[in-house]
Amino acid sequence: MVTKDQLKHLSKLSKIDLTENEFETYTKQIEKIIKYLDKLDEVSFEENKPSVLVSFKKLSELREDMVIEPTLNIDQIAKNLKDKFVRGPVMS
Amino acid sequence: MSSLYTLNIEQVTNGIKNGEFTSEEYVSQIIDRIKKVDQKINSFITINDNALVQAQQIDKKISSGSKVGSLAGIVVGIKDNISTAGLKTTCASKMLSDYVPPYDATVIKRLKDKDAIIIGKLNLDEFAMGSTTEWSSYGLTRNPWNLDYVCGGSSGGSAASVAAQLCTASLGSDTGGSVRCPASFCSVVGFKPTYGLVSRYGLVSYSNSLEQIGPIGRTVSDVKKIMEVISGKDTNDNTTIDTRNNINTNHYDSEQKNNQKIGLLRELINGADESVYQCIYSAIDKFNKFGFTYEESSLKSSEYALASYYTIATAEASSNLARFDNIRYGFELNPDDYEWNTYFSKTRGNFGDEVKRRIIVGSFVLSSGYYGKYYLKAQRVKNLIKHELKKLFKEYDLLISPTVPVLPFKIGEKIDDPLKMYLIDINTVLANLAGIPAISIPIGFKNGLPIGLQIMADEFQEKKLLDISEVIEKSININTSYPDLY
Repeated sequence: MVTKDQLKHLSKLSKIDLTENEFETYTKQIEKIIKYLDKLDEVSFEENKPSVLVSFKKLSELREDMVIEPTLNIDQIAKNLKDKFVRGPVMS
Repeated sequence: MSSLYTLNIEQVTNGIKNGEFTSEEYVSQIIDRIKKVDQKINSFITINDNALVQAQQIDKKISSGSKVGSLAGIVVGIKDNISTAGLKTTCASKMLSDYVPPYDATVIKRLKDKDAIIIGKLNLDEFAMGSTTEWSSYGLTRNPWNLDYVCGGSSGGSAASVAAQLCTASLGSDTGGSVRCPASFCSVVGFKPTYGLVSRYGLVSYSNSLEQIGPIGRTVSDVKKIMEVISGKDTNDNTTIDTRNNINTNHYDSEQKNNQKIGLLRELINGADESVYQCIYSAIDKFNKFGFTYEESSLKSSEYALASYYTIATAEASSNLARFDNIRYGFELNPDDYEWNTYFSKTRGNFGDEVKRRIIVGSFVLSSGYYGKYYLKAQRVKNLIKHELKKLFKEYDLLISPTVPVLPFKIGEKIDDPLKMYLIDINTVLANLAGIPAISIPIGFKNGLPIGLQIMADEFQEKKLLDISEVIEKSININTSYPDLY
C-alpha cells in the first residue's frame, strides 16, 4: 500500500516539488508499480548465497594512484556558467 | 552522385579512400537529408555544425596521402546522454537544456581517433528512462516505418535515425533494453555488449551497474566495426576490462559456425503476441538449413527479472540524479529570494513525469523498512538469474527470444500506464541483470511494423554472437529497402 503521505515524505527527501495533481496521479501509478515489485516476495532462494555479485576485477588491476594534471581549462567549463560565476541560493 | 546515404560503413570508407566520392560530398548529402526528413521523425536534438569542416579535413588528409582511421568519413549519430566536447548534451531534459560538456566520452574520443564524424545528438527518453522516446522534453521521435507509431526507446533517436538513413550508424545506451528495443521497433541492428567491455566514461549515469553503451547499425557487420573501435579498457572507467585477455580466449573458432546449439527461451517466446510468436518461428525455419541444433529451454527466474530490474534501476537512478540542482547548469531561474532546499525542490520539479516517478520509486525501495523487502531481494534475484543463465550457457551456445513481446504500438497508447510501459522491457532486462551480451536483429514485418529477434550469449562471447548473428541475418534476408520519407 502506497499512500499520498508517504509520497509527500519521499518527494521531500528527494527534493522534488510535486503539484497536488501530480501527487494524485503518481500515488495511483506508483501503487501499481510497487505492487508489481512485490513479486520479489514469491522468489524462493534455494541456497543462502551472498546477495551481491562479486566483481571479476582483481585489486591488482586498479590504476596507479598518482596525480594526473587536469586537462580541462576554465574557459571550457565556464561555457556552462552564467556570467562566469556559479550563482546559488542563500544559505539559511 | 546518387543516394550515398544508403551505403554501409565499408562502402563509405572504401568509397572515400578510393576517391569515388569525397567525405564532404557524403556529409553534405546526409545533412541535406536530415533537413528534409527529420522534421517528420524528430530524431535529432542537435546537429554538429562542424561536421562539414571535419569532412574537409579528412579529404585533405587523403589527398595529401596521410593515413586515415578505419572509420574515416562515416557519419555517427550519438544519443544525447553521451558527452561530446563543445556539443550540447541535454539528456532530453530541461535540467540540462544548455549543458555543453567540456570533454569527450571515451567512446567519442575513440570514434574521432578513427576519423569518424559526429553528425549530431539524438533524441531519447529523458535521462534514458522510457521505452518509446515519448518522454523527451524535445518532443517525441516517430517510427520511420509508420509515423503514427512509437519508435521504441530509450535510444529511439539512435534507432530511428539509422533506419531513416540520416547517419551511417549510431550509439545508444542500454540499461534494460534501450538499444535493442528501438532497434527492434525500427528494423535495424542494436547491440548491448558484455558489462565492462565498453567504457561508460562520459555517459550520463542512470543505473551504473546495468548500463552499457552499444552501437546501432543497418547491418551486423556495421555494428561489429563500431564495436572494434569503442570497446576496450579505459583507465577512466574502472569497470572496464582488458578485452585482449577476455574476448579472444573464448573456445570458439569460425569453423564451428554451423555447429551451434541454440536454446529457444520458452517463457519469453510463449509470452509474446501471436504475430511476434509466428514471426520468430518462421525466422527459425529460414535459418534452420544452416545446421544449427535447436531445443526449447527454460529460464524459470525470468518471471522475476523485471521486478528485480525496476527495483535496482530506480534505486540507482534516485541516487544518480541527486546531482542535478540547476546551479552549475540548467535552465534560467533566479535563485535570489530562495532558500537552498526550496530552490532545489522547485527546480527539480522540472524533471519530466517519468524521471520524477522513478526517483520516487527508487527512494521508496531504498527507504528504511523496505530496503530488505525490495532492494536486497532484487540483488539476490539478479544473482539467481546470472547463475541460471550460466548453467544454460553450459548447454547452449546462444539463447534466442523475441526482443520485444509486442509489435510497435500507436503513439500515446501506453503513456498513461507506466507499468504497461515497463512490461515492454520484459525480455531485454535479462542481459543487463546478468551482464551478458545481447543483440536485436530484424527478422520481418507484420502489417508494415518491424519485429526483432534477440540473441544472447555468455559474457565476453561477442565474437561468436556477432558471427552467428551475421549468418542468421543473411539467411533471413528481409527486405532492406528503408522508408523513403520524402
